[in-house]
Parts: sequence; C-alpha cells; structure tokens
Amino acid sequence: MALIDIEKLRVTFRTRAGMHEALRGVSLTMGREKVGIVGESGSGKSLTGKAILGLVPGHATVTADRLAFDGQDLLTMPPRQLRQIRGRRIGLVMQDPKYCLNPVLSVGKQLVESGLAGGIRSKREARKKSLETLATVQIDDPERVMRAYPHELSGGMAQRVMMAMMVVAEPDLLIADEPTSALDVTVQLEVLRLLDRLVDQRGMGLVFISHDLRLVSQFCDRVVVMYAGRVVETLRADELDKAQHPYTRGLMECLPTLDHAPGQRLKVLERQAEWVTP
Amino acid sequence: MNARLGWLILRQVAIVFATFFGLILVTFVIGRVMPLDPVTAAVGPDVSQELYDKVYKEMGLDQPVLVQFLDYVGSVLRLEFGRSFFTNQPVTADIARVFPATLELAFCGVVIGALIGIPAGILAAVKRGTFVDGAVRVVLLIGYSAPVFWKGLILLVVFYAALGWAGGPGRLSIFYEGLVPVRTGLLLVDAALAGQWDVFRDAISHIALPAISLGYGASAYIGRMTRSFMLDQLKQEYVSVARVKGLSERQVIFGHVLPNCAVQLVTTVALTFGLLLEGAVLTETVFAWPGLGQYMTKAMFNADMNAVLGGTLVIGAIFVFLNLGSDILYRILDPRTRA
Repeated sequence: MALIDIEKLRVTFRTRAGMHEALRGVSLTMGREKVGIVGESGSGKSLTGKAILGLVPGHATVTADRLAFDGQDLLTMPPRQLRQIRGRRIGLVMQDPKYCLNPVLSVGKQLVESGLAGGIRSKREARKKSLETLATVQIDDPERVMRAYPHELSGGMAQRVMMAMMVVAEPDLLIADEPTSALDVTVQLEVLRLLDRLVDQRGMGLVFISHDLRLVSQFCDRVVVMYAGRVVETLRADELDKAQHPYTRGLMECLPTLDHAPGQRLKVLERQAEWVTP
Repeated sequence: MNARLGWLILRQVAIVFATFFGLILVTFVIGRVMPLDPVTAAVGPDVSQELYDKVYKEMGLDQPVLVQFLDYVGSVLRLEFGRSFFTNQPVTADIARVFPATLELAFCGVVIGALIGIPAGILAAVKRGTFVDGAVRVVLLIGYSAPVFWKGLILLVVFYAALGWAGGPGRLSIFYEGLVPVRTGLLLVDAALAGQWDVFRDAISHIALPAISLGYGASAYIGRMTRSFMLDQLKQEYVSVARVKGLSERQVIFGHVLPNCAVQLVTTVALTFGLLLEGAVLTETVFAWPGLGQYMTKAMFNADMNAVLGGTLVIGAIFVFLNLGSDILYRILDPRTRA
C-alpha cells in the first residue's frame, strides 16, 4: 500500500483580497522511497508537506479527493488519531533549527517528550532511546547535549538534534522542508549525508522539499516539480534530462555547467502564462 | 555557570544601589525646592525670631547643601524620616502602621488580577478571532478603561448597600476592631495567627470589594499583555514542531508556549503589583481604607513634607526591589539569560 496517497489536494486561503488558492489540485503517490519536491517560493511545496501533517493554518480550507497516509484518510480522521499519526509515524525537519527547538526547555526534555508522544512507554526508556538516537546523528557527547539548551548548540548541531528528535519514535515517513538552507555551506553536506543514512537505515520514506533541483536529483529516487500550486512534472531522478515541461527545462538551463565559457551569460527563465493551468 | 549567575546577581544588586541613590537624591531635591518653609511647618507661624533661628540651626539648614544631603542620606539609611506634623508621630512609625494595610490590599488585588488575567489572556490568544476572544477582550477593556473609584462605588452600591453580601468601608466592622494582636499588621495574617476565624471572615468580607475593584483593573492589563505575549509565541516554529511531535493542544500551550511567556509575565505581574501599591490612593479613599495612599493624600493636603517624602521613598524602594526580584526570576526562568 502506498505510504502517501494524495489526489487533487486543494488549499485555499481566505484573505482580505478574496480567496487565494495556494494548492490547486496536487496529486502525489509515494511508498517508502525518497521523493524530492522542487519548485520556487510560493509554488506550494512546503504547504504540501504541511497539509500531510494537518498543520495548515486555521484560516485556510483544505479539500482533496483523497489525502491518505498508509491507507488512513487524514481529512476525516478525529484529532486524537491524527495526533498519534503525527507523533508515531511522520516526522518533520524544518529549515531553521534555531527556531524549531523550544528555547526554554533542555534538549533532553524535548527529546524525551518526543519519544513519549511517539509511543515509548516509560521516561527511562525514552531517555535511553534519545541518547542512542543522538549518537546515530553523530553527536559526540550525548549526555552533555541532553543537558544543554538550544542556544548553546551550533546550527549544524541543532539541526542534528532536530533530526534525532523527529526519528526517535521511529516514524515511517520523514518530511524534510529545506533542512539545510539555514546552515553554513560546510555543514550542509554533512547534514544531508546524515539524513540520507538515517532514511536508508530505518527504511523510512522521505519527502525532501527544496528549491535546489540539482541537489534533489542527486539525493532522491524521484523528483516532483511544482509550479504555481500544481505538480507540473514527475521524473525519475536519473532521467532529469528527459524533462518535458518547459519550466523544468528552463530551470536546468539556468544552471552554470563546468564547461561554461567565461563572459557568457546564463539563461534567464522566461515564464509563460500557459504554465499556470487552471 | 553558577559563578557567573552569582556575578550577575551581584551586578543587579549594584544597579539597585545606584537606583536607590538616585531616588534619595530626587526626594532630597524635591524637599528643597518645594515652596514650603520646613521651620514654619514645624513650629508654626507665630514664634519669635530667636526660636525660629534656633530650630533653623537644629534642622541643619545653615549647613552647606552637600552636608545637608549627607545628613539626609544618613537619616534615610537609619530609616529616620523625621516627624509628621499632623500625626505628631515619627514618619517611620506612621508608615509601619499604615503600609501593611496597603500591602495587604495590593497583594490581594494583584493575586485576583493574575488569577483572572493570565487564564483570560491565554484563552483569548488560543481562540484568537473567535467570539470568545472578542468577549474576553471587551470585558478586559471595560476593566481597563473604567476608573477604579467608579468600579469601587458600583461594587459598594450593589454588594454592600443593596445585597449586603460584603462588608462596607474600612478594614473591619467596628465591633471586631482591636480584637487581634498586631504582629504583621496584615489583618488577614494576624487574625489567622491568633486563630480568630470570625475576625478573619470579617476582614475578608471587607477586603473583597476593594481588592476586586483593584484586581479587575489589574486583570485587564495582565490579560491584555498575556494575550499578546501568547500570540507572539504561537507564531514561532517550535509550536509547529511540538504539534508534529503528536502533543495535544493542551500540552503544546502549557508545556511549550506558556513557559516561553513566563519571563514577560513575571515582569508584568511585578510591575502591576508596584502600580497597585502606589495607585491604591483612589481605592483607599472610596473604601476608607487606612493605608499608605490615604496617609500620603492627607499628608499632601497638610503640606507635611516629611510624611510625603518618607512615603515616596518607601514606594520607590518597593519598585526597585520588585524590579530586582523579577530580574533575578528571569535568570531562573530563561536559560538564555544565564549564558
């Protein structure tokens, strides 16, 4: 059974200027694989991730022909059950770890809480599990980090703590929303490798949201390209050059290549009105 | 880290001393620039020139200003504010007598204010934009904008005069007056210590109305602040993360969002307490509450500078110590300020 099955997902925001349709019929099916969602700002890639978790802000309406996780309908599910799915089966790693960790609670407290909410029975066991998970995300001194507060961690370390917090309950799916954009270039790769390993080891599904087409294609099995609230193209990562949609092609042509001649200008993406399909 | 914490507390204490010095300076200057002759105030207008000069010398007014100031600092440090001309008692003794009444009232007021304001603010923030939010905000706004003496009068008319549920003006009914020995000056505490529960009940029924009229105003301020602190925090990403973890909304609000508001709430409540101590003047007048506010009002009408300055110093000192207290609490509540 597919881990995620979305059909014609629509998210509409009520604003002062009228209704704004941010997602206009997104369809996506995936199993325990690595799927990258790419697109520019406002294309709806983050919102798709949030919709799977039921975290769309209150003033938006969500409709879909189907929005299911592991065969269970997320739209009609009672809140209690939805909470259990979130805590035990789906994790989310966001862009800036500095804002994602609660500043007044110690790392240990937040990890243990995550484990308990994710179905670990006792505090003691959750603590043991937290220490193990910190070790798997290559934190050298887990005992010390457990006692630390978020502001005492570096950005890369905080993001690793964040990943530990989200996998401590061993979810089936991890959603990573631009997990490296706020990090220094030097630690980006390290964090990505770690993420890759975590997903492989645990056999999780991964939704990797990014605006970096090349990064996504190196890292994922499949690439979903979004534009203006819709999926315009789905490709196997190793067949990126077979892209059909002019937006995807345009994106790739913007990138400099190794044999790029000095002084030669990069191509600029020229948008076409017909890319926005109703 | 603990050595650092100790250092920070030491620094706070130094700041307190500096502030207190400023406070003494200001009251000293006010005492000098007021167009009141302290000698005349002390001995009356119809005295001989010799007596006038003698008292003038005794008060040290012939000394240079700097010497006078040092004398003043010395007497303040010895807690001597001179004699009050209209009670003919040392100001220190007067304040020791009237201040507990104000302290008791302001404390009850701020407790009521926090008990209503904080939950109301949380509720309004969580239900933002709904009918509940609107209703809470209207009720708080009325408490905020209605003058305290008006609220006091309405409460008296309804609950004392019409319904008879609460005691009237004053701290006690006349027949309970003087029944319990004064230990702390706080009637509720004294009555409880003496085990005089009927006095305790009577004191409660007298303090209820003034405390509610102060507390309602305080809850309005505390509630509005709580709401905006909560809304600020609810926007943060750690809130989404807490929800992703599978926590219930209750756990998210009380386990994650509220602890992040704690620091600001402590300051708000402490400053409100200070404002109530100082601003109880009108309430004390309406309810004939024999506290510091009433004492200072009378002192001012009688041009009794010693009493006014003594009261000002006490209130100023309390403000300084409330600030110090909330600053130290910060460091306990927010790990970031410890680093």
